[in-house]
Amino acid sequence: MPTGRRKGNVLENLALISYIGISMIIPIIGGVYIGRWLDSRLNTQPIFLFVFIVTGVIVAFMNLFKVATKDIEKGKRK
Amino acid sequence: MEFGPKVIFEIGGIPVTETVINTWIIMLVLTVLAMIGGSAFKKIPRGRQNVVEVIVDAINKLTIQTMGEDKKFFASYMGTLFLFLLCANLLGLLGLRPPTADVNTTFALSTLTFILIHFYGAKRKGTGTYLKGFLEPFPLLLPMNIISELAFPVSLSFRLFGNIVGGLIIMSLLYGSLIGLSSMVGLGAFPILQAGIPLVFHLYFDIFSGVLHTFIFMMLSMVFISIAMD
Repeated sequence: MPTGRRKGNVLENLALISYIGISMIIPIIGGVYIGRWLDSRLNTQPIFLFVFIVTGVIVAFMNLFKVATKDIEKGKRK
Repeated sequence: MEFGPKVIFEIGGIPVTETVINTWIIMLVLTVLAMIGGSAFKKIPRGRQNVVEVIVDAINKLTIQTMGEDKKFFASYMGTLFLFLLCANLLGLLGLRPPTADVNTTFALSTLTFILIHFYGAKRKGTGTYLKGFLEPFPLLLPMNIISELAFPVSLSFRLFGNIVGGLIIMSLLYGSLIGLSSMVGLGAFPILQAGIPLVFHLYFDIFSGVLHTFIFMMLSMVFISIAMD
């Protein structure tokens, strides 16, 4: 590769593996809190709670996808 | 039991906690070490110059290996991050409260990384192209992409904070219970059980967990900055 960046660096991938778990849980918990806060502000229980939980789950899987396909995409482009 | 950082004194209504004091101690130690280590270099390294060169070389090599030759200038930031976090996480061994056991410290550090990610991402790709990246794979995912980016500093900081503060709480509970255990055996005035037994736990919670999470924090900063840049 022109950048001199080695693919499949063991330490890099270990760090990323440990990141997968927390990167999936944070958007969901964040979604629950934002949804609950908006609901209590606007008195619309439980619409925003469900909307933000679903958004959080989608974001969680997007994060997973991003981490998992990090090196594959690069291989395709070059 | 109270596990939050104690307020030592106040400057004009702003509370100065244990965290801040311990951060100052680390800053002082690192500054003095850098001044001693960085002075009077010779062509043929001897003594402390060897140690300094090993550390700098290792960080430079790791940065180049992980981020690529063109992003070598991040080595200074990553080295600072590594040395500060290493000292901070190992401070528990001296009986002081690690600054990283406060979410303010870890969140500040991960905000720095967050700003670097977006600043250098926009600089390298051009602001227009960079902002267009938020509309991929299709424009409807814009709010999801923004939340996904905002979740990064939160997850990075909460992981370090959670691990260090968890170790801190378990250690202080263990010390408390060992005092109780000693007085049950009739050694209340002289809690002999506090010597030796916590060693194993310090080995795991302070040394292993501390060094591991220092490394992971630095590694994730490197990986995400280089993902944003290329």
